[in-house]
Formats: sequence, structure tokens, C-alpha cells
Amino acid sequence: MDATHLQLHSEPQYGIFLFEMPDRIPEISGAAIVVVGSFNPAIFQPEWFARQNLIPVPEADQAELKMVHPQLSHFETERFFIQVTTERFVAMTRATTDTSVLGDLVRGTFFILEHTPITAVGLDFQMHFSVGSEEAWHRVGDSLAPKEVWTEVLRGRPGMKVLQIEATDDNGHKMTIKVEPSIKITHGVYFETNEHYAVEGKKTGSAFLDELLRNRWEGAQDDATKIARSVLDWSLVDR
Amino acid sequence: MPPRLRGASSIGVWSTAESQNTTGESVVSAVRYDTAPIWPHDDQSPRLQATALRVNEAAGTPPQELPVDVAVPPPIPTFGQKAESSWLRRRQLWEGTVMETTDEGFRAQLYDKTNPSYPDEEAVFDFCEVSDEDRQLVFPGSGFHWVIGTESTRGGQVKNVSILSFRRLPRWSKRSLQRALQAADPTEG
Amino acid sequence: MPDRAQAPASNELEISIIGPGRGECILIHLGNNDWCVVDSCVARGIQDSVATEYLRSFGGSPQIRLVVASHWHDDHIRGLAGVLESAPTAQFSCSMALKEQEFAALMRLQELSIVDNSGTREFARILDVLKDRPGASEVSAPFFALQGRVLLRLSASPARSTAAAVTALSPSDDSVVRAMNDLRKLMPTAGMPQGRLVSPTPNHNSVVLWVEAGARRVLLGADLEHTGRSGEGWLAVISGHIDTTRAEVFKVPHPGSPTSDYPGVWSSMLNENPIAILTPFSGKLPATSDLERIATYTNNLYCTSSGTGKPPTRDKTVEKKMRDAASARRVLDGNPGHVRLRWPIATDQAPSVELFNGAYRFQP
Repeated sequence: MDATHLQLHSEPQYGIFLFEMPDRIPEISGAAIVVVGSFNPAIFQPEWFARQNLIPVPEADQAELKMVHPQLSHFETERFFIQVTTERFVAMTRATTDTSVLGDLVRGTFFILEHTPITAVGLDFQMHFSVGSEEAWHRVGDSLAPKEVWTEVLRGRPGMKVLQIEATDDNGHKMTIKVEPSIKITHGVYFETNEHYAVEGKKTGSAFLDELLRNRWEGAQDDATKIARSVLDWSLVDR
Repeated sequence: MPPRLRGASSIGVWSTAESQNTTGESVVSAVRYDTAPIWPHDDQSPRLQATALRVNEAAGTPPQELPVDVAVPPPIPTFGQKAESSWLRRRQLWEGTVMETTDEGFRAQLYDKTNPSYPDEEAVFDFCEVSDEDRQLVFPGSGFHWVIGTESTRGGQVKNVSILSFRRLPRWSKRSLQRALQAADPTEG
Repeated sequence: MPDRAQAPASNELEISIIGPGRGECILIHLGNNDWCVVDSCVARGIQDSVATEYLRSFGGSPQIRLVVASHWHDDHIRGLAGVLESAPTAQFSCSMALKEQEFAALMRLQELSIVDNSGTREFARILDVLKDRPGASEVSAPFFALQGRVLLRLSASPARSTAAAVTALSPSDDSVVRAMNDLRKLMPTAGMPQGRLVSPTPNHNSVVLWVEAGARRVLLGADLEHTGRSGEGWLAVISGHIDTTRAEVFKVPHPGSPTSDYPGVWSSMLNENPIAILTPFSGKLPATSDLERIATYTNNLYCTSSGTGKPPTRDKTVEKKMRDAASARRVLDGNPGHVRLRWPIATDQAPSVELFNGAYRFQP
């Protein structure tokens, strides 16, 4: 585990544990790329993606159209969810799709639509980790959201349902992290991370997007996994 | 109940749809959008006005046009946790480049994306590893992702899988070729 | 124990061959702190070229006078743009076959591509470094190498006791024409899918170098092959070679493969029993039979490394699935070893041979 990516303000004694923990692998992962700008939703139809060589023809033929409309396009294929409004393009992987294919789909789309005005890009990752036992599962919630204050004011056993944390780095890039109990895995913890980038510099929006995805797409996923691992490792330390 | 759309539609064009009346009977056979979706300023789902063609075959009455209020799916999807029961757990990801093809398969260079500190490798694959749709994408220089992992199907079956998916990239356009030639001109500033 | 970070003396000729990272790198000290860098490779997990890292280890400020890309494939030029950037007065040289505007267009096209093309991107970066140099002329072309063209000439002066020169012995005119044709075929047309540039015939136009320092001669064989056709490959090199002094050091071409071996090179261009050095390539070359064949020409055969090693072992499920799907796996990147020769330019002294990081002398 690379200590420089931990991004945790943990007590020094926990640092030792962070280095000794074996790497946890998410049981299930998903990803989404959100592009904010100005779009013509009517363009974004399965046949268009197939014609541009971005998805296979059979995948386009079998796509489930939720809606194609001048102001909203929404469909699902075997591997992706795609939803486009006049202001937002969202492409997400489905549960059995490896996240590696999503970057190409979005890069390819805006390579072709290179003049699309783009103002911001979000890179989102979803991960479900198993922590192995009910006791460990409760410990994660108790560490991240201590219950002392809640047991004073609530009856029963209060539990953490959602925790959302936001931080902005020195370059102004915002990261949001959400932690929830997993609804898919027994004794599982769900993490959702979002990295937000505003288009900056002299580059066109599509060039900015391409460079960001070229340089950051895999790193963002690695970092998201590292953060989730570190949070889990930290919260599972026996205090 | 608002109609459930079966196909694509746009303003002024009839599209097949169906809905249920209060007794649960399916009665609507077509819908036409009359307005673009109206996005409210609160967190409600946007809505649009449409006209439904009401046909009650059992009653044998003439078709009747009825104004309806259609709920549009939210424009910003909720990422959150989805109810899909199938999943893929990736254990290993390679990025590959085809170096040479033969009648039986291809030779490729592999870059380990799971363990980036591991050395690059080269290996030979049979075409039987490639899906029919991807076969045309195998040529010297083409790229692919190779995932080894565990997959759970909707039926709950869990198995180890090796998935070779060839990268689907845009084709070169005349404009890109022109731009490259221009940039290659040593006398260009 | 030799000290790798010890710079050569001002009057010493040095030939350092480092590899394989992915490819190899040759450094030549021509005396008087003047250096020439041929090709580049990077060690796994390191950003800088091994050349930059090696020269930096001396602590001084070595003067790189010439940077040569023996050919454009990414297994030869990784990190070369960085070397050139750190040497703002160095001449950059590459094969005349790359003079075609189509080649530059190919490089630029790959820059536009979604595919990550490390080799062509590196070459495009090199062209940008040349373009961005302060005082660069309107046409910032490389100094193209063609058989017989002197790429660097350092005259004797009060600071430099002996003259030195680096001359290209290839590509020949025939090879250039053939390579240009091959390159043109690589240019995609509208509607073709994007992909990495994979050249089927990379080695006809690689740049073989003849190094002269005083009475010393060194032959650096690049990846040039023996095709059996007059007018190209080693036959062209020999027919056009005019220096009567023979080389005492030979960098064996294309990791010792039989296709690059031409006995005439040993009999007409090299001293008897010369020092021969080769760099293994991706676990395949050289085969033991290649080493044994080369050892019939000389007793002084050195390898920079014993190879690129075995693939690392991964988790059991992954290994099993990999075995099911792929065969003939081999490692491409190695940990670079280093063979270093140093000897005074102006005496008859034989070169001292120093071996670092797994380099070894071949004993048949």
C-alpha cells in the first residue's frame, strides 16, 4: 500500500497497521463518467454509438430504450447505462461490466463530437467491500460515526446509514466520498467516490476531457480503491 | 397512471405506449408528446405534456384522445447502489496490443494494470478467446482489455472468467488526417 | 569493485552499453567531457532514461553533443526526448527514411489518437523539443543519417588532444527508399480504425555508427539485418565502408539473431578477437546457439544481462485462467545491466571492461 495516497489524518500508531494490512479487493465495482456542458440528447442513440464503432451492433440492437427525446436520451445496453440531457452526459457501467471499457466509450464519444462545449467532468467509482463478520461490519459504522451522542437521544441501536465527506485539494479539485452499508453483500460496506474537475486552461473541452481520462481515469480508480481500503483498515483497528 | 413508453418518440410523433386504468386494465396504445419536459426547480421528476390515444377494444368504442401528464426519468441518475444481482469481481486487468496476427490467433504485448510495477509481457492467444463481434477488431496495432475475475450471473451461478474485450475506438476522419499532415509540415509555425 | 558513478578521465574513450530495460542505450564518451547518446531505455518504475540517470551520477555537467535514435520504435527511444531536453545544444539524428513528411504526419496522428502510443509520442516529443529550442530556425528538422554522413566531428584543439567523429554507416539509399515505402503504407486512410503503430519491417533503416577517436574505432551495429540483397543491410555497409582502420569494439546487432549476422563484418571491419557486446531482447534473443555462434568469432563476448527473466507469479486463479487463454508468455522488460569499456584514446592500451547490474562475460 502506498502511504502517499492514504489521504487520512490518522493517529500515528495506526500507520503501522495501514502498512501491514493485506490489500482488500472490492467484491463488486462500478464506474460512471459525468460530463457537464451543452449537449443535443437526440444524437445519443444506440445506433449512433454502433455506427461510430463505439459499441458492437448486437449490443446496440438489444439496447433498452428508456427515452429518446430532444431534451433527454436514456438507454441501457448489456454493458452501459447512458443518460444525456441538454446539460449533462452520464455513462455508467453495469454490474458485470469491467470499468476499463468505460473510459474508451466516453473518450471515443467526445473525440467524434469534438466541438461539444464541456465545462466540467466527474469521475465516479462505486465499490462494495466485504468485511467478513457482523462484528467487523458494526465496527466500521461505529468508527466512522461514533454512536455515543446518538445512544443518548435515540432508543434501540442507532446505525450509520450514509456518511458523506467532501474535500477540495490545493488545485481546487473536489472529491466527495459516500459510505453506506452494502445492500448487495452480507457484512459489506459500500463506497462511492466522485472526483470533480472544472475545465480549465486554453484547451477545448473535449481535449481537456481526453487528457483527463488518458492521465487520470485509471489513477482515479486506484486512488478510490486505496482510500476505501484505508478507511476500512483504519475503522477496523481494535481500539 | 402515466403511460409506460415502449419506443422512442419525439414531439408531435405518435409512439406506442401503454398504461393501466384504475381497475388495472391496459387501455392506452399510443402516445404523442405535445411539449418538451418541464424541469421544476425542486427535486420533483420533470414532467411533460402528452396526448394518449385511448383504445378500449373490449368496449369497441372509437379511439379517444386524452391529455396526460408524463413523468420523465430523472435527468441525473442516482449512482448509488443498484439492485442488479449479477456482478463481476476483477482480479487481474491487462491492457494488450496486437503485434501480429496468424490464421489461428495473434501475438500481443501485455501491460499489467493491476500490478503496474510488474514487467510487460508478450503472449499468444487463439481466436477462440475473441467474441465474434470483436473478431474484426483484431489487427496489428489494435488494443484490448483482458480481465480475469469472478462473475456471478443473475441465476446466482459463480464462476471464474477470462474476458478479452477489444477496444472500440473512433475511426480516423479526413479532418484528423488533414490536421496531422498540417502539424507535420516543418515549415508550419 | 569498480565505481559506476566515477566519470571517465578527460583523455579516455568510453563505450557504455546499458540494457535491456525495454531496448537498450549506448553512451559514448569521446574525451574532453563530450558525450554521444544512442537510443534510450528506462528501467522499470523509473521515469528518466538510463542515460540521464547514469550521466547525472557523475555529479558534473557532461556535454551531450549528439543524440541518435537508431530507429523509431518505442523499444529504442523511451526517455530520449528527456535526454534531448537536458542537452539543448546536442544535435539530434535519425534515419533519413524518417525525413518524409508522411512519417512526421504519422507521429502527429498518433498524438491525436486515443491509443496510448508511447514510442510515437516520444518521437513527436523529440520533434517538439527541436522546434521549441531557443533560436530554432524556421525548419527544425533532425540531422538525418544516411550512409557515409558524418553526424558529429570534433576537431583537435588545445582542449582536445585528439580528433573524434561519429559517422553513419547506414541506412543506404536503397534501404531509405524501401523504408519510406513501408512507412507510407502505415499511414491510415479515413474510416480506418485507430490503433498503435506496428511496423512489420523495422530494421532495414536502422542507423549503424562508426566511432573514431584518435586511432580507436568502434562499430555500433544497431538492429541492422543481413538481407542478402546488395544495396541494403550489412552488404551495403561493407561495400560503402572506406576506413581502413579496423574496430576493436563491436556492439552486436539485433541481439545476436542469425538474420543480423554477416561473417564479412567480422572479417573486414573488425580486429581479430574484438570485444563484442550484446544486449538480450525480451527473453527470446539471443538463444544459446546465437551466443555460441558469436563466440566462434571472438573470445571477448559480453552480455549486459542474462535476459529479462520469468513472468512473475500471480494469484492461483489468475495464473490458471492465464494459462488457459494465453501461451508462449515471455517478459519484455528487464532490469538493465551495464557493460562499460574505458581506455585512453591516445595509447595502445586495451580497454578495461567493467560489468554492472548482472552483466557478464560469455564462456562457451
